[in-house]
Amino acid sequence: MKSKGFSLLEAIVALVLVSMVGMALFSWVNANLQSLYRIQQVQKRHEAVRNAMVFMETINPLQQIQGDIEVGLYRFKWEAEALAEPMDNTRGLKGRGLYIVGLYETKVDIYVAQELVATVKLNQTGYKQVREPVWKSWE
Amino acid sequence: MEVMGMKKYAGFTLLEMLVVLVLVSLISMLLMQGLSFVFQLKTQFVNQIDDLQQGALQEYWFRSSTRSLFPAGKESPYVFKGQKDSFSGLTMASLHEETGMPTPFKWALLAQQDKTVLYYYPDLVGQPALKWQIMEWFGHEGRLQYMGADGRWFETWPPAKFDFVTQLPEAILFTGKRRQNKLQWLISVIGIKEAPIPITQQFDF
Repeated sequence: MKSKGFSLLEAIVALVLVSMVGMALFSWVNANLQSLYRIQQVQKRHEAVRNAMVFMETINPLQQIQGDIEVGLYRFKWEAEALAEPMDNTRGLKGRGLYIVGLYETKVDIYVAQELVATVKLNQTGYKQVREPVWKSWE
Repeated sequence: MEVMGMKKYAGFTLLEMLVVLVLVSLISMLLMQGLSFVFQLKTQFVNQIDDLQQGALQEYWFRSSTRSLFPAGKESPYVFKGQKDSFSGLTMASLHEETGMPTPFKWALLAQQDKTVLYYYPDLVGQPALKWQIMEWFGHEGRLQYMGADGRWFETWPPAKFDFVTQLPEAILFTGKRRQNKLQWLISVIGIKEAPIPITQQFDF
């Protein structure tokens, strides 16, 4: 007897082929979506890090060795560690100046909406005036 | 019989045609959906790249000019003035003049219908109304805040009710939007915050 229409086998093969192609297409699209999401996340993190670096410029680690401050969307939590004992600054050849200075390594945790988005480490100088200038009289 | 048989099996039956048509339409529908999805994805990617490139420029312009704020003399019309939607003063790194020359400039956020637009004023001396559009976003979120040396934040600079502050704030916080996302730039002002005392005054015994 001659067969009419498709056999079951043919139908199954066709369906499997269609579904395989569809799956491949969707997984490709999905991979693209994920990479887009990742790019957005990285961009946000970089923005946060830039703001944190700027914020740390306003901090003198010798005065504030650690802290936790909210600025707009962000919360910066930092902890500085002296790489060496702070020492007197020099002033030309005449000896010590008015300040003590120190080199610090500061670790900053950046939070956005209570969620840690990035941690950065930076080296900073700290300073503190410890002596008053001495004015010599003119006569 | 032979002729009859030939007649019977030449071409497809109606059922076969129907099945084929249904399958073809199903598959093409799936493909079309996939295609439109891919197009959508493409526009998203283009937007993203746009944001990255243009956004980097916009941020750089705002940051570099604001970071290099410079205090003006006491009598000057360009003493720093900060409102919650604009600030003006002198900068060492203006966008329109040479770097290293104190130049009057102004940044302002203006609400226009359903949008907020960030403007840069390049020529406060000659044409005070001339402005360059730098950035825009939907909605009316957008403001500027100013931080004093003690870490407190204010809506205006100099603060409305206040004792003594330096002419320039320690830091400026810009809040805006990029597409749907809130965006903030924190800028610390480098260099001196108060105009130096003129030499003639300094040695005025």
